[in-house]
Amino acid sequence: MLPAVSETTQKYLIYWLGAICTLAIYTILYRENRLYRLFEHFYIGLAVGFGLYINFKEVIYDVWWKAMMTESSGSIFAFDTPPHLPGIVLERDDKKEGKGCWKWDVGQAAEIRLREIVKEWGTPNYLKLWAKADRPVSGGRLTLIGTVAVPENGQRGTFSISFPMETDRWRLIRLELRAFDIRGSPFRPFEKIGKRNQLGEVTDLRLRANEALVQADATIFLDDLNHNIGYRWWWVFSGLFGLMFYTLFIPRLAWMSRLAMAIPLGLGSGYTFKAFVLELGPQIDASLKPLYGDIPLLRIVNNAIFLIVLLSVMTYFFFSIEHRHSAIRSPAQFGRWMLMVTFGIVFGNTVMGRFSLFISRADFLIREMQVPWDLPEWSRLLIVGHLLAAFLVLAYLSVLYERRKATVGGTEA
Amino acid sequence: MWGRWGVYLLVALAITLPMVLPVRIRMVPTPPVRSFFRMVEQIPKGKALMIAADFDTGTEGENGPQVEAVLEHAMSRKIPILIMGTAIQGPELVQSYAEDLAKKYDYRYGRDFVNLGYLPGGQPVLEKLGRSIWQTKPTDYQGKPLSQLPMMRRVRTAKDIALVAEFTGAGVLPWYIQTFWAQFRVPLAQGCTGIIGPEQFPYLDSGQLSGLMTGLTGAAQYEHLIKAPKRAYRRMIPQNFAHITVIVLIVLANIRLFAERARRLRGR
Repeated sequence: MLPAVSETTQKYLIYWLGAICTLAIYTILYRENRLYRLFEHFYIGLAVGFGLYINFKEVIYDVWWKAMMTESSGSIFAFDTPPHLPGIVLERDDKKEGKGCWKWDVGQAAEIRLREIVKEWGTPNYLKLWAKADRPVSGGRLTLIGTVAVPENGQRGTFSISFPMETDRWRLIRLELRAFDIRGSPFRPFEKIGKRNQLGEVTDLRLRANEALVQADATIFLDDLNHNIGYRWWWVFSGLFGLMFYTLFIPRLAWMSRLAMAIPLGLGSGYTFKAFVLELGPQIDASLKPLYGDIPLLRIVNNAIFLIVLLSVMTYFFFSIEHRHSAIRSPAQFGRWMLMVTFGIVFGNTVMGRFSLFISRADFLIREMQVPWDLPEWSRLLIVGHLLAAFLVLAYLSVLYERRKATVGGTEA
Repeated sequence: MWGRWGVYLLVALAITLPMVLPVRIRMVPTPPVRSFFRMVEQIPKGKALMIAADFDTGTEGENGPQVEAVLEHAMSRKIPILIMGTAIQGPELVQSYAEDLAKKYDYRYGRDFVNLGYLPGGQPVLEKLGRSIWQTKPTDYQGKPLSQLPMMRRVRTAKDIALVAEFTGAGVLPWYIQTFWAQFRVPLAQGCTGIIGPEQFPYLDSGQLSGLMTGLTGAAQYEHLIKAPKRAYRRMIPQNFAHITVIVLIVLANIRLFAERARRLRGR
């Protein structure tokens, strides 16, 4: 366990580590040297380590492993707090989960409303509820009734399901969502993946005891109501499929890697076709610009320049006909000049980008310097200059060392 | 040898001296940056801004100030912000900017902004995200269920997002165009590095992009529009001096080249 450090110490550590790494990497300006290589390895190690961690934690563990190994549950109601409802008390001893359970005397209240429930259930496939009666009741049944509001369209709906409550032993009751009696429109209109649309916000949840339970004056124990997606064990196949990529390293099984590669290839081909329609289509459409009509003169000139350049560049790339005739050769040459101008713009932007990156490091080194004293920026620049000089000397010494080693090695050989 | 070191020295001086001297420059926002600003300004109440952090530390020098400027604008307007990224380091970087700005604008994680983290899988995942955020990424970047983050009750699909602001140094814009723009009709704006800037203009011309910020200069222009000159503006001063130095060096080198050529021709 690393010791806790103050925020100020953290700032100093972050700055000076960053400054040392930056200056060491900039020694490449002199030439390839050991100091540069050492810090380059630090960078590569950090980037790979971070990538591995994020991929493992946020993707493999959170998305894939948890989906297979857990039911992806969420609590709806814990039955852990005093109910403040007639006929119900909080039972702390005979419970299944958490701090307690509810003991519901159905003789006093045949129906109870659960307050402060979790409204958002995500995409559950089933609900789970711990329940038992104080004694066996033949024909005893409970009904769970929910009211759902859909904020997107203001519609409402209800769902209900009836289940047996005959035993006096704790039982984890599983209520499949597909078995619910659904009325109205409790599903969101747009949010849909797979077969079912997503459930709206559950605004009200009630439990109702049937006549048999009321007449028997039974007491019902209730604990932890959860929504669950369920174990998605079949996701293991996606993992196995992914591992097929690695069979590339086993010559006997290498054919399996080609099977795995076929899927992304197929997907890519499909998406390329889609891109032609959705991405290039609007661009082709936008290229057909008007040259006359009720538009400003400047716009007409702009459109004309655009069309001339477009047609010239397209002519340059038209290789089916030899560029001999002046009707083809001249626009093609003009198109080539326009391409050169574009490449110039791209190169200029590249230079600008590289300067920006260098300036961001220089700005970090000089203006964000963490020192215990209030230093003017001139002094900061001098400190950075001296540090850079020191690093360059180190780089020079490392090059000298390598040269001497090579000379000695050569002499010995 | 000395020629190369001479250029290094001149550029280093052109960059570092304006950092310590009291120099100011005037910013003039270009129409694509103004359009980006307008898109954020027009986000209706209740709808979210999605920040797609598709960049890594390698281009943080350009993309970082762009995201910061847009975050500051969105926070000043109390717009819910959803952060995600198809690059591994991007969402973590944007989270740090958002946390710094949150103190100033009283933004609270979970209530006003949420970070979904890294989303691998490219275009198919974005398509799924547009249909249902909850089903595509049921937890945030720390593994916390979305049901525990109040903002996510209102932000569930592409319909709840008013603008996707994508920041990148790579060519992943077509993924967003084919999904968010074409399928879900959500406007797109982009902050890109200078290198890929010219490639993005056809998208702007066709209306597939509603705004564009190119490189550090785009970020500085955006900071000017939100009247909060910070990192980007500060860094544009040495950038301008560096450009002037390079232009002068190119002109001088060409004069020398032409002079040498003329001398050679005279010698024949």
